[in-house]
Amino acid sequence: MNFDTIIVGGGHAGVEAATMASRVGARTALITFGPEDIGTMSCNPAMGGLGKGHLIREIDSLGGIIGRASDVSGIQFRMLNKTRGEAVQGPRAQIDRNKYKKNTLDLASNENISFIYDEVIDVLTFRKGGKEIVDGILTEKSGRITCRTLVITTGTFLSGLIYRGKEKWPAGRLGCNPAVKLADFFKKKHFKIHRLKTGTPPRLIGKSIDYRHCIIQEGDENPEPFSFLTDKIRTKQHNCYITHTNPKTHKIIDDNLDKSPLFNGGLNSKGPRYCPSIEDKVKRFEHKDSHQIFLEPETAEGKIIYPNGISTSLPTEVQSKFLKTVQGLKNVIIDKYGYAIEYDCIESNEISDTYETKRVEGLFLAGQINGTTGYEEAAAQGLLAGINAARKIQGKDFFVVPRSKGYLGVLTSDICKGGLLEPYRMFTSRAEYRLMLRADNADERLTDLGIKIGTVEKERERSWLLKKKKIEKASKMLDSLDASPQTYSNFGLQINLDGKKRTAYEILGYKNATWRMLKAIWPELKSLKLNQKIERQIKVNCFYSRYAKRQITEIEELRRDSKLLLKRNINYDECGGLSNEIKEMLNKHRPASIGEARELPGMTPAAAAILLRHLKK
Amino acid sequence: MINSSSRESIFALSTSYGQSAIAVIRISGEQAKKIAGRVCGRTKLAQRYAYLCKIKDLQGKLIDEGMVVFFKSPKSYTGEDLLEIHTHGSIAVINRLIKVLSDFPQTRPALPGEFSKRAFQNGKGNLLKYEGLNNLILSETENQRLMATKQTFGESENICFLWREGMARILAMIDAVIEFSDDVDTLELNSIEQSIRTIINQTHNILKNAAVAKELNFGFNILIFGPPNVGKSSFFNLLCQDDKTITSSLQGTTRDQTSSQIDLFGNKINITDSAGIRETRDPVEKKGIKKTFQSLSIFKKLILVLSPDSFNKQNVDGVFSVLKKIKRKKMVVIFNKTDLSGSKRKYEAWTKHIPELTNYYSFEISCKNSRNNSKTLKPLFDFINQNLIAVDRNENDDYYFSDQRQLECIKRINSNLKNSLEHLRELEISADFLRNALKETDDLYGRSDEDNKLGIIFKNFCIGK
Repeated sequence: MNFDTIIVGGGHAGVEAATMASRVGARTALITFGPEDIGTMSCNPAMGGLGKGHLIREIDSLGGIIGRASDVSGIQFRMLNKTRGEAVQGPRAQIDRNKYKKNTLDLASNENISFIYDEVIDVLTFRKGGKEIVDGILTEKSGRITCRTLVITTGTFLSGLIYRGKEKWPAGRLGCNPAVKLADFFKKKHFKIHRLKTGTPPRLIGKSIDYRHCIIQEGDENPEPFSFLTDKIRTKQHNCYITHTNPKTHKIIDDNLDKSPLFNGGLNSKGPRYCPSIEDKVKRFEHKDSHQIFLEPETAEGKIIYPNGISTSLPTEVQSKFLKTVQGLKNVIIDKYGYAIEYDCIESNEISDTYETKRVEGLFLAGQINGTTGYEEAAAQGLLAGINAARKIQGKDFFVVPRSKGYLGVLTSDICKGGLLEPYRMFTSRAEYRLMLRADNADERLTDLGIKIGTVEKERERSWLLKKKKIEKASKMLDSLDASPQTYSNFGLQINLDGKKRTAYEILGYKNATWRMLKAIWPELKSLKLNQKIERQIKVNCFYSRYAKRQITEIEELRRDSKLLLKRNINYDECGGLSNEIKEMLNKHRPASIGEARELPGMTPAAAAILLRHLKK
Repeated sequence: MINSSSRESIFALSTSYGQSAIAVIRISGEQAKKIAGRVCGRTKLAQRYAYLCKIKDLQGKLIDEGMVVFFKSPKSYTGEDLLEIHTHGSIAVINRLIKVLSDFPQTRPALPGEFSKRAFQNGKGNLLKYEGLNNLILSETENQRLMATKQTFGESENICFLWREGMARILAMIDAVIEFSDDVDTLELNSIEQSIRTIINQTHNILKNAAVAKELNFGFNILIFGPPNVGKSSFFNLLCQDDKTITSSLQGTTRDQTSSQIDLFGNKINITDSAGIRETRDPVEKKGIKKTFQSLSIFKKLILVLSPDSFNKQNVDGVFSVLKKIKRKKMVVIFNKTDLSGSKRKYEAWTKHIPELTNYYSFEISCKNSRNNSKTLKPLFDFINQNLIAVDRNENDDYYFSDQRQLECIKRINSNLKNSLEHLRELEISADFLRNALKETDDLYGRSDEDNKLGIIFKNFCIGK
């Protein structure tokens, strides 16, 4: 068999990678153990959140499938931080994990992907001109399959090892075999490998829970979809419940800490600080006598409940014992016990910002194998790796999203820098341009790019171009209308009566300004005939543009100025305003560009500004 | 450490070039040890131990006898291996040794400031420290030294560190609420507001005192001006104890400006003498007067010199028109030539015709009779110090920041924090300004600590499902 691009792994990274590679035009195969592995949510039954929800919107904007699959599988939608600004609102949903699998498989099956169910036991490479280049893979059943680029997305399966109490056994996740042979390939090729760990809570039988003692957590009244292609959520919405641990629970956990491999020295690799085990929480925050447990249904029927917040690797009998102390869980029956899993990942500076490894040409890595955690982070990497794996074959430029353009860029540049100290998860605070990188404007930031590289579906292209036209027309119109503060005040706006004229665009950015008010001042705005959604979108844009302007200028200036070239024969003595030391230094070093000059010792921002002025003269 | 292995070693004469008792040449980098072996005949060196040695060139010919001390990386000034060779302070010896070191493989003369640059790159200290060190080396007077010492040995660094810690903590609190709304739902806005306000006030005070701090560091600039022939240059020379400017009784002798530095009670003072203000046709003198007017608009501290024999309508008009322009400046008046008869009356005439003069402190003196007379000079210096130098200074204030770069960072920290406070109800906007303020603080400090932010969150809040 022979393909352009092969994707190994059918998780969230693998599915997006395969979809993208095939859309870009590569003959693509996805290989995984079995169809049941495709779109598996191996941890909590939820998608999105802060940073993560942003990623889903961005993936969706480029044509990825995680958003659409979630929208048709969601059983409770909640916009986090709904009372705060849009930049820090994150869409999140509880997902029926069975439906998600089915929907993902359906969506992926519509793409031009060959599915192969087999185990990969080795990666084939050849050497050419001192370079190691991917040639294909060796599989258990089908033997040799050749390809030109290969994307490996094996999640926690590389030399996975499960820990629970004193027990310990090799697995990819509970009930699945690890990919041990593939792990050997990376060792053989001297990839730098480190071990990470993560944990998962026990799963509970829904019927055995007494919800009367729990707090109801409802979803949003008007559930907002992830995908820009979904106009409305049509699935039935369900409740989640919250209960709490108590001092009795903590006592049991504390008394048995020595039986937890996390504490008795059995398991020492690094785990995520934002997903601490219940052992960790009890030990590190001794003063807290209660921790929240979110009871999240794994499916719409609620047969199995995922108790979010109590991941543990304590022995099974301790897990049952401490659970029974919790309100509502007195008679709980455990379906599967919690465990910790330790797995190999590749030191993430082995990849460049295209997700191609530096060691083996044509080999791309995406997802948890790079030391990240989370479905969304994995899907994002899969998407980018899939695009680049296909573009490489076509001899096209790699597709790299800058940090200023999306969380996709933040994620990429953060991980390929290497040196991750814990499994990497996205947070909005990682983005320096947080005000611009919003979940609401992901399509404005990325869909045009997606159209250009051919990853965007026809339907999305059509609806986006329509929306874009409307937004552009309206923005232009708003920008062309202006009025005095007195006028705005007459129409009921609280405003500083400083006599300065302001455009309608500026005014719409005021928290208390409304479209209705502007339409009263300028009836011609009614001719735009915008729906509520687009009106809201434009208002959000107006609001943030006041603050984002500074960020945008910063980005543009930095990019533009750094590239400004300095002639080798400039006489710095003639640059007025520079101190003698700096003149001397510049004369000596003769930097090639402003960017280089900025890096020189003793160079001050003020001096760089003077230089810039001199250059522009 | 930054590619220390691939870098060339550098050397420099650390003492000043010229005849002296000893000269010290420092070598930093990988070659330091080899140089100790080849040049000083010491292949084995205990660190921080002084050895007497024969200093030889690469052919083994004796240059001098001296002392050598080895500092092993990372415990050295630069963080690299560092060798100090102490020789006799002879120009010939220094020249020869420098030639020998230049010929040594992978070794070259250091660029200005390169030792400190390497130290900084190797994680030693922060920008503030090196800027302070630079000021310390340049300092000539006691107050300059005091301030530079504070900058170099930690006080400015400490305050900067406190700001950074405070802002990082607030930002972590805000981000915790934003990122983990399910786990962290309370934000103590009052205490946040309080913390931000404290830093705003501190930075505000620094900026308010910036002019004084700059003067303490770089010197106070004082301009002497007045009508022609009142004895400005004599007065200038008296202050400088030096016959720098040609003085004569002809009008318009000083056609250009002369400057000199003096140490007045530990302060560095740059005094500038200027051409007398009057109408003239002489093109050279005209140019000088134009310059005087320019200086009058720039200088913030002025000394007006008047004399009895210069009292006439033309001069009164001249002085009057200048005084109208310089309302907000610090100025004192010197009535010169008390040796002339009837001087008292003429001074009264001056103040009668220009009542504004009484708004300024004045001092009467005869420059002619005061030369080398410490009895009259001491009160004069006291007068100038009290009324012109020390006036803006509040003894309770500390002055740490004097360099323009530092002050610009602080200005931006201040304005970002004000914006942050103003938007405290819109957390993400507030956080954005706060983040900028933190970035500016990092710039001020010259080091950043981006990764620490999440650490603060996880340490203080129990987070995660």
